[in-house]
Amino acid sequence: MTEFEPKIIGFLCNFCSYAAADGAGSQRLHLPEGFRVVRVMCSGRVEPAWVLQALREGADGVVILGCHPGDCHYREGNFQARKRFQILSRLLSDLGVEKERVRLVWVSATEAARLEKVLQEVRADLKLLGPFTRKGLKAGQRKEAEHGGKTTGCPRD
Amino acid sequence: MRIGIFLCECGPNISEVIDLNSLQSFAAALPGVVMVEKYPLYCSPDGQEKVVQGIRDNRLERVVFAGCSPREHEETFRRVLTRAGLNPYLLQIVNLREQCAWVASDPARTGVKARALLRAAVRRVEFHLPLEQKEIPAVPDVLVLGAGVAGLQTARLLAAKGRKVTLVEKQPSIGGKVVLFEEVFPGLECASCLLEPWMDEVLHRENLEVMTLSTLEEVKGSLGNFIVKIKKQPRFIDETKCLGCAACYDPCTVEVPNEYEGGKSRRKAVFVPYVGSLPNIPSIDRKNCLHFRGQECNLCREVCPFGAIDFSQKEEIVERRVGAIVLATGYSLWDCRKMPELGYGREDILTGFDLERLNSATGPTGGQIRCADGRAPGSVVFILCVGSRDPEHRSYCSKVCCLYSLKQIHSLLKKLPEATIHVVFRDWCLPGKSGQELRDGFNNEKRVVWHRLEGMKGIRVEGGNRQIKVAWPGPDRTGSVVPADLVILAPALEPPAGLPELARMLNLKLKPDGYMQEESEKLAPGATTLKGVYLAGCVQGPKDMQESAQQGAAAAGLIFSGLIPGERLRLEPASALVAEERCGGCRLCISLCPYRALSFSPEKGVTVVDEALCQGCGVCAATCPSGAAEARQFTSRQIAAELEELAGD
Repeated sequence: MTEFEPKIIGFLCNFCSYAAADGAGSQRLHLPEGFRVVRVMCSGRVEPAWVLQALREGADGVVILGCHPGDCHYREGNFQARKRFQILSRLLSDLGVEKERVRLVWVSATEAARLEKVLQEVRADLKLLGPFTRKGLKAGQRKEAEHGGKTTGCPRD
Repeated sequence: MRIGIFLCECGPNISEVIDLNSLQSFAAALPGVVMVEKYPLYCSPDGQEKVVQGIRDNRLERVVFAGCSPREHEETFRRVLTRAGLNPYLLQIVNLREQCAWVASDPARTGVKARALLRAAVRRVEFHLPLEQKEIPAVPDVLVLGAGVAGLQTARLLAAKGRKVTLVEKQPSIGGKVVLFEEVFPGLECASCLLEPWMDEVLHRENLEVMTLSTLEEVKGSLGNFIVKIKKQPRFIDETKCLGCAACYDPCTVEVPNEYEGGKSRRKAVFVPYVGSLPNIPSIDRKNCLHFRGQECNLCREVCPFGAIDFSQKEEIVERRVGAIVLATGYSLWDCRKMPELGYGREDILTGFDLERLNSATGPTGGQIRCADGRAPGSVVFILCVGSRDPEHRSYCSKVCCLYSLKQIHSLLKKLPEATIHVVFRDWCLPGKSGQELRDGFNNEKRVVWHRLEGMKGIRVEGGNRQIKVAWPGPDRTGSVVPADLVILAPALEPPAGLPELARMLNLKLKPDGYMQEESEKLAPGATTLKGVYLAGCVQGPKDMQESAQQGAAAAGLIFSGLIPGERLRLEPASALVAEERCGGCRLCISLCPYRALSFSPEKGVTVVDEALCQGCGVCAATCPSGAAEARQFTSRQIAAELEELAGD
């Protein structure tokens, strides 16, 4: 393996974005080879800690994909996802994680082509940034652990 | 832990892109894996049998299936696990087809990705828990709110098949607004003649309880098990004794404008809203009745031959247990006073609704079209699109105004042989198989003058006292003026009054236009996002009578198929759970749950989950600061395990 191929972990909601990713397959679109999906029922289920863990485990970027505002199968889970993402973004910025590495994007079930475009953009950005080195994140992990909260990099057992 | 892996070739779909032989040997070496098989098509009957055999022969405790998307066959393979005697939730699916083979561009990297996906699933499945398919009993009875066309339809269809129905109507009589109309488009049939058989039917069925003067006060529970509280205002007439003989009206000395006739006629304090209203039982208006104003008046009570007058009736709260709720609360008319330049409220400036009462044989003028001073109007001006398609007011098309205005013009031409009718309009909205006919009927009619405007801004209704003029600016700034004896405004339909409160009570959302949000505007316009609550008629958006009747029938159909007597309801197995020993009782999750499935137990000091309400979205789990709330099948531990392997090479 010579050239750097970014690893992108995606948290995809079952009803919109996961369906779009399936649609990308059905239409034989090309999604980045480094794109790997964790399926959740709703983007509102995604814990900020998972994003941190994904980066720590070796991801170069993370995308949280949910239904467009107003289309959430569970009414408003995507709004909760957005609120959490806003807080997470501040934390990531404090930790020195470039904002291009973690994104929240709305993708409906029919937007397979858009999904492809979004992911290719993410991939291109990550290729420019290079591999994620995790230094900042480990410092952040210690800092957060002192608070004992769940929104740390530590998955609970 | 004995984990088995089934690699599906999906014909050539997966096997031609991913080297399954090498994936098989890679998978066999993963911790816990005791068996890896591959097969051309596991979803086939033979393939499913192979999985059952594989599970049994290898005494598997967990299964990973790698093939098509879980959206395609997760349910299929869950059933296969059940057949093999394994809990269906001890399965994890690797989406090797849609999200790996089919999106691949680089075979070498696709192989790496397939291995990561498989590793993550094997790691995750170890933490899967057997989930239980719970069932609860359900009540098949139904509450219908609103007794207009839609509500009557739902109620009568359900009752005809033996369902116990409670039909709640806020007004003293049933039939909605349309029962007041003399004729309805497009066929110009008499509305009350159309509806009367339905109204009789609902009033005379033993399994159908009609509650007038009543509103919904409180709702608890969920599909199959709602407990509703209905507030019933006193009628001051015992409905079981009154025969509707009307003996009580004459002695009553009070006279007030009748709000049910737009104030165009007068009524007593003991009254029926209009001639022929059903149920044929008067009510006493507490605000105007002398008895309630501290006077010693008992005239109606003295004259009633059946002893039906009962001044001691009190407001009641009635509780019912129902399995489903149908909202058929209709519409309100947009208040034309919001455009003061149109002069509504002054004499001889009416809405289309007011005109319906003038036009009705049982209305205040006995069906004659007359000005306030009794003249027959020589010039009638119709103004359409009042408040509709107007971003400052109601931005949508109200759908029925063009049609009912044309219908009224037909009627006026007949009743006023000398009159000229001016129509000030913008576009025609005449969809469907018979709308256009109404308009084409005027093609050779010299007495109708059409004034088509670019927009409805700047129209003014000026003057009064036999000197009304309707004026509008023209494109060349000249404009036009026509004299009018009678002006008829066609106001927008708007969401019924009280809808925001009703939505809040049911934890439902309104759309930006103020109507009730449906589950899906196109595919499920009669359902809401709350299971067991359905929509019928204008509560979902402007509709004509035909559409309301259709949606009323659709709501009955949804209930017939979704709530079957004797059938138990299956709950979502992947619901949330709250670990009591970890819950700090902060209640953050309660405030975020979109289904009100969480509540605080003061005895235990923790949050508890109502599994009948929980839909398994997991918002609570993501919110819980102490890790007490969890989403079954998407636990933090399961996702963490998946992440441990997913990002690796």
